[in-house]
Amino acid sequence: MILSRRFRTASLGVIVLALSACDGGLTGARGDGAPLNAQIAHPNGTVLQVLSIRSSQDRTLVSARVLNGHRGEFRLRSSDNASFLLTDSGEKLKLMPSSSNPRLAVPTEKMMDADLVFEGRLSSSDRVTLVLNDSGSRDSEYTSSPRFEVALPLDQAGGGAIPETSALSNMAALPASRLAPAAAEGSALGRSGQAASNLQAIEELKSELGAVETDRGTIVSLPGDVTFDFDKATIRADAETTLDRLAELITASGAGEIRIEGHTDARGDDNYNKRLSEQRAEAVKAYLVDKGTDTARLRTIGLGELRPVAPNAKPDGSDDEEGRQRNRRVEVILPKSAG
Amino acid sequence: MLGNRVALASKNLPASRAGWSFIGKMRAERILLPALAMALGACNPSPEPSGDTSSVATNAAVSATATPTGTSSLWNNGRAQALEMQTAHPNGVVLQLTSLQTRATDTIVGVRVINGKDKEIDLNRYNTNRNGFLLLDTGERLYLSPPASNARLTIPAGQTFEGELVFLGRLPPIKSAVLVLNETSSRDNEYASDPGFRIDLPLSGGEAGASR
Repeated sequence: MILSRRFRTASLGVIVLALSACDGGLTGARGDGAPLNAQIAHPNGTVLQVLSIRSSQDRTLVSARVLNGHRGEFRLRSSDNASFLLTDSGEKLKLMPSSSNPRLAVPTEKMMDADLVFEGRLSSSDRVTLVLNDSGSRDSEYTSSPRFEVALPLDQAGGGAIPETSALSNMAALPASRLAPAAAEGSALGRSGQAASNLQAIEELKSELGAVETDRGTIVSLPGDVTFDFDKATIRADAETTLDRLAELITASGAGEIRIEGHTDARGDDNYNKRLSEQRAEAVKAYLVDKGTDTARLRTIGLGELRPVAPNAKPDGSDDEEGRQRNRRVEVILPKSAG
Repeated sequence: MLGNRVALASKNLPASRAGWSFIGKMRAERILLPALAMALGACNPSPEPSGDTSSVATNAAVSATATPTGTSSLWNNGRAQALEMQTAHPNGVVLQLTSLQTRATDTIVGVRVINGKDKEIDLNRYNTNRNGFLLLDTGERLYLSPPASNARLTIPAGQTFEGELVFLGRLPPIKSAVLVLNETSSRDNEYASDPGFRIDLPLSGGEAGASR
């Protein structure tokens, strides 16, 4: 095979050089090779796009783009001899490794440009097949060494300088889907103009705050452990964003009395718990007033441990930490007409 | 019971086809096309370059052709196409498709999902498997790239979500494709929390780089 390749190299070198000299006008999507247009989507979530090919005296370059939607990294060169260009005469031109990334591994959730350099020159009359991970799987969705096979035409393969080693570059985040609460409920509802926009804002805020519609009104529950410092009525700095959103919701929702109820778990003295719950409700009120809410609309009450939303103890009498955590909260109840 | 009921209100929509027979055809093509491609490659060692031919297939031997640069290898020349399609699943979920566009690296389907069910639903049941994809008439599948923060594409009960479903890979100038979500799930179970959808996409007119 080596002899065959050397013979071909010697005999066809003049032809390739001549073709290269005449072929300066080709421009690929990347590089100067013949622009190609092949795409393979492997069931493991990866995609290979072959963009161009060009050959020089000693090496051949295939430019590609790879997208990794696999849950882990995947390799373009799983072993030393796994990836190659196969000519129609049976020669295999080995894929050269990258010095910094010998397996040409592509991280998960990334896409990269790949300059795949193969050792040896091709004849312009050849038809060549790109094979990556020859022993890899064609159809396993779990493989990290997916097999790709692409037949490439060489009748327009350009020439030009080719690096000595393969390389991956231009790593970028993979395009990904996005889904979020709708900004509108659709024109079929017949809402219009400003009213619809206001409703959209209210619904977005409710969704963001996890508001729940009940017979009592729209309830926004502020977890005690998140909103306040331990055993205190001091609002934590990282809870302010949530409270700012709450203030926006109150402003957007219109008129009506708003109840602010403080609640605790059942651990500790009843009077202490009631006092702490009152102080926490007052702290929320003060924050909302500071953000522009009319103080006359806000009514606070501390209910201590009277209205748990979850058991404070398990059926066997042992402590239910998760339940107690849910009970430590401040509930802000907006009137039912709000949104 | 019937599967998804699909209402097509877009211009240039193809005639509605029976979903299952079409899928069966596509599966058969997925098996036969690679063999056909290999056979054709063997008897055509030096194909003429084609101006707008795009080579796509499942992961079998693919034959590349030289092509001009630009957007001619993209469906609808890469331009966004508005859609007005709606599918109502018997479980109360309504899936509306609002747009379709392909780029060099990915294909984007604009969606609105109305969860009329009293429980949350997932549009990507197995976030590590490949249950969501675009099935092209070439047999190729472009797989869903879910968001990292909501890999299962969960929609809370009673809520409406909007966004984009992104599929990895460009959409070539083809004539038909099927959007598949939750491939192995039920299309007619009113209690399903992971409803299955198969929707024929109106691609005619966007093939071969046609202007629209």
